[in-house]
Amino acid sequence: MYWIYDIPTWLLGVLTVAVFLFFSLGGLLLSHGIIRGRLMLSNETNNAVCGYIGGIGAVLGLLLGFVAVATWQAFNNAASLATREAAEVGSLYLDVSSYPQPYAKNMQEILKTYLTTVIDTEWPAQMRGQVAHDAMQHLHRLHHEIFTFEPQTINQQVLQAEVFHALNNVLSARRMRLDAVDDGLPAPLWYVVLIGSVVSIATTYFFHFPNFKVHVILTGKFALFTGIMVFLIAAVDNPFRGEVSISPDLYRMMLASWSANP
Amino acid sequence: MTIYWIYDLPVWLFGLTTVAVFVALSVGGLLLSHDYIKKKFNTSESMNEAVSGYFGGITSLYGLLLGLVIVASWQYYDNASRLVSREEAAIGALYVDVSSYAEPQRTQMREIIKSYVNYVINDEWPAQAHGELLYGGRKFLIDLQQSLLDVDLADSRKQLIMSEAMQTYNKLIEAHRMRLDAIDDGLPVVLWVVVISGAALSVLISYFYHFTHFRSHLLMTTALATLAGLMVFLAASVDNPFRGAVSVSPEAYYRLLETWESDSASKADSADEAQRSAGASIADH
Repeated sequence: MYWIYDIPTWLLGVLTVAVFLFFSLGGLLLSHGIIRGRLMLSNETNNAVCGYIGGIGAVLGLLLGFVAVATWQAFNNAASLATREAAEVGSLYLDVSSYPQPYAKNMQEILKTYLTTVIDTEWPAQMRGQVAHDAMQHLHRLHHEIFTFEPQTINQQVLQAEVFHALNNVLSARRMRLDAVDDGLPAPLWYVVLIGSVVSIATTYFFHFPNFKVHVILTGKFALFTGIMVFLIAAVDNPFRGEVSISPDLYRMMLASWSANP
Repeated sequence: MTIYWIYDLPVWLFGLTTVAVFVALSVGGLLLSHDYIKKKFNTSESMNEAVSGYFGGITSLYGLLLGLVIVASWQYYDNASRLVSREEAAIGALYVDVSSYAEPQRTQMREIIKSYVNYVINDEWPAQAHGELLYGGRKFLIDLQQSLLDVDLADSRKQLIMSEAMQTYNKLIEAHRMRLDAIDDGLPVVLWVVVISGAALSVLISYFYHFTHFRSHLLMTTALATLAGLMVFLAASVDNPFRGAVSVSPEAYYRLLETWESDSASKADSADEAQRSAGASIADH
């Protein structure tokens, strides 16, 4: 189903709503005759149907709300993991700049290459839902570089300890970002959302209107709204995919700020 | 509660069964009680409004309860996946940290870490999917600690490395314990009792509706029962973060093994390069 993230968001929205409208209005047109002929609905039965719709709608509304919040939380969590990684890389960059030359320069270069690889190679991969490890080799190199430096003074010893610590933080933040790549709503949640929408739309078929056109319009509105909710959930789901996703802009800003004040 | 066998069923079967049971019981109840209610209470269309009031009140309360239950079980799930991610991050960092140790310690520790990850994937995971706790992971971690501490502290650089590696190691231990603690996370039985009886109550109230045609009543009840069944199915599959269809997968640990493999493949050249650049910078200095 991931192809939905390859099309523009507005198109995804229009498609989702169109599918919902098509099926609910089609269902209404097809079932209308049978329901009317068999069940002898009247204005009096509307009250009872209204009660059922109220109950079903309340439960479905809560479910949709919950699902929307859950996907939003996953999105937020992924965004804050990316921010954390960028921040940890930033502080490591500052830390290593206190090394004597040429160590400082070397290490800063490695960090720049690291960010560039993350932006150019890892991000596109994770937008396709793949986890790439290309940038890891640069951190290994950095680790090696730090390790080969022999502190001469107490100050340098303290610096070394801090740099090791900062590097470990980068490593953890990186891993946690990679873990978030395949975050998404589990399939059973999607089933429940979709089946629940179908059941509640089908229940509206049992209303009775003296004028059928009103029934069509109101069912259309109901389907429209349900479709919009489902679209919202799908767009926010999978934090690194689609247009509504986390961009590597933070990393780019970091690189830009480094080249501004070397 | 020995109801955990539900997690051994395929998702679709579990979902279908839950919905089927809900629909069967509600429709069955309606068929049985229909005549009795009609005769005893003289239900008519004019009463529908009052029934609607009660029904609305009960379903909105029940909806809130279900919402709470699903959010609560979702939070357990979320929490468990964060713990797994934390443990994985600590293992990954520790693996890099130990590469500063001299041989043969380095290879030895890396092997221990790898066996630990394999143990988690192959032994702990299947066990915790049945709610069992395995303590075998401790043995690897204790071995690892011994190797970590076995350092000549006269060298100031080694001091640093050891202290940093120990810090990461402690994070790993903490995350490991917290993951084990999360294995029996789940909704308390009381909540389940309330969820099920709430569903039963809402359906019972709806029996008091009056329809000119009984078939409409049957269809409406089916729709209501389907939705209630779906929601209970959802809550049950999200509950117990390490069990069932919606559960935390060991994917993160597989990813660790995968990274290490791709590392050791590209290791040779990148290590050489690092060596060269390090050598050059020392000479410059």
